[in-house]
Amino acid sequence: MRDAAVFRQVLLAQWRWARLALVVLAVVGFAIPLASVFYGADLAGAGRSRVGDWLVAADRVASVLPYFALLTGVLVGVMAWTPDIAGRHVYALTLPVSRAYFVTLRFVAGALLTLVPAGAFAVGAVIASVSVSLPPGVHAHPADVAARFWLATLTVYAIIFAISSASRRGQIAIISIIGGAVLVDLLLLTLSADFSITAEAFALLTNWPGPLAILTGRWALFDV
Amino acid sequence: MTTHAIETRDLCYRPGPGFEIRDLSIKVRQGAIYGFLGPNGAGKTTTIQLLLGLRRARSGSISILGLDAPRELPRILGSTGYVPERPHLYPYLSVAEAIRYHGAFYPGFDWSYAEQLRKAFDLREGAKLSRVSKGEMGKLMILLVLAQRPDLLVLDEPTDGLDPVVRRDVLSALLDFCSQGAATVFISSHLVHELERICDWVGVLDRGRLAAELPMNAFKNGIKRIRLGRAPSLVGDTPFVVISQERSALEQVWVVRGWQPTMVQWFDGVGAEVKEIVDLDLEDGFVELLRGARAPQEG
Amino acid sequence: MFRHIDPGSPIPLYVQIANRLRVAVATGEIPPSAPLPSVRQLAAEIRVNPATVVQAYRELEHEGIVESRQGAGTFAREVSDSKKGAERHREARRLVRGLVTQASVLGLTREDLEHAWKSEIGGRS
Repeated sequence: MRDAAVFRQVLLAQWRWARLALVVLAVVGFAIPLASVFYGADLAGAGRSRVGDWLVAADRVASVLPYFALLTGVLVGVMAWTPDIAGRHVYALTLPVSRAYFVTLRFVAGALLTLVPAGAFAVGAVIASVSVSLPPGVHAHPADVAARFWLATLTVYAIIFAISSASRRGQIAIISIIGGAVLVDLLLLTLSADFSITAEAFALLTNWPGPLAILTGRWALFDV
Repeated sequence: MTTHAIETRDLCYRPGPGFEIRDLSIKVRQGAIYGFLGPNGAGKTTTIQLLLGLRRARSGSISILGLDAPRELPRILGSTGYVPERPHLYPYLSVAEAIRYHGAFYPGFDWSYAEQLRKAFDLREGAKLSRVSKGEMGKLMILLVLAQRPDLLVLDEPTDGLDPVVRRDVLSALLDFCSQGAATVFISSHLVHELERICDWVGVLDRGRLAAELPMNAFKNGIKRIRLGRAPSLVGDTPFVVISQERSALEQVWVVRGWQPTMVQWFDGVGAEVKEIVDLDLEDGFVELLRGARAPQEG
Repeated sequence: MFRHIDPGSPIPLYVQIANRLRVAVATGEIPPSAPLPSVRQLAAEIRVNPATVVQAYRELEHEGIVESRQGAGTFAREVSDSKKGAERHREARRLVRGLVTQASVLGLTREDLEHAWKSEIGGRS
């Protein structure tokens, strides 16, 4: 009973803090799928080349989506703890709950808030799919893309949240490792080596079963 | 044997050279209003942070409300109201939202008392915390901890920087709450005159060490400045504690602790002439105590 | 009523409070059977430790000036005329003592004071 009341307050406080950003992201998320139907309304009887052009344009718009998911996840993840930084976490640390409990509450609250832009995107995708009469052979995948968007956002959010929740020492360690890798790569570059740490790491992360694999792949709303 | 509300044993903390808390052994009785006095930089805030788990001591033990700190901190914090030196609430919330947020964490939160205090303090429900005045923020922080109805209140300079009217309101609310039950109050301040009225115990911290810990009455009434005409011919054991001595050609001035009126006879016995016995108020007594604590020990 | 409570004075706070109340009862400022402010009220009003107020009330009860009734509070008792008179004397002497001390610090003589007394008191009916 009390847990529900506590969670409600944590969620409300998170929402108050992040609502401007979330609303902006939601508006953008809603608009992107609609942008991909900008060119055509009635393509039922259109010629192949026109449909082809339109699919290419729609695909270009869709290529923005993984970056947008990345941005949403990063923003919501960073905003998870920024309100506490000014007070040096004193308030959170002196509430009568364990750290683990409080961190979990914050995590779940943030995860729920990602539904705001993801939900707006889903609505936009559905509207986009029904607002255009598709020629035979072309299909719309609003549900698939919306689900992919939300999962990608959640994944990025979880990673950023984990980093923000780490102790000072942990955060310094992570930044040092990344900074160190970049420096080593610069050195390797000057030595004209074929190898790059950051490139390898990126490949590892973005290819299945890497966690960021969800960001790659097809984001097309309209497909043959 | 009743447990103390707060008890530390040989607490040590050393973040770096130049500042240290050494062998700190504080005992705060249940139900007491304990004033934690000390000059700025003595380590009052650091001690409070150590008590509440915001810093980690190097050695020593802490017991709050009979529970081990920092191991049982969530349980301790459930019965403790903390007002830090600097406001720690979320500035983007409104007064009403801040109350709702805070109250959700405490099962025993008294919502009607919170509302009563809000009206008494004249805090507007919709006022954003980032825009309220320093006095209003101070009142809100007191409101939140009092409405918790805690067993222990830990207040770090709660009235510092507040105007006299707000200070009055805060102290009145605090004392009203204390009259209703047996809460213990641990209040740190350098506003000696304020503590003089409300505290029944006083602990003096100087440069990380506890210089004195005694009932307020004993502290106030027992510290005297004695002007002597003829110096005592023999200085052995004194029935009181000599905090400091000043010698000039004409007279000696001693500041002593633990004085009782009958001790004049001791001076007669050693051939000294007592010219005057001056009462020191808490502020003077505090200053003299610190001076004595810092002077090298006389063999 | 309690504007003159001085925490810096060597007189303990509870004694100061008790003194003030004793005078109030003796002069009829607090009539017999009238309630004294509750401990809670008074502690909050003059901003002193509630234990201090309790101590003052106990002191007065011990002297027979007030009585505490379980659950109802503390009430003034009927004070005998001789007690009232004694209290008035005591208070008046306290005031005069203060006046004389101050006057001597300022270097005023007894004649100066008598003169001033006559003009002040004589001027009022």
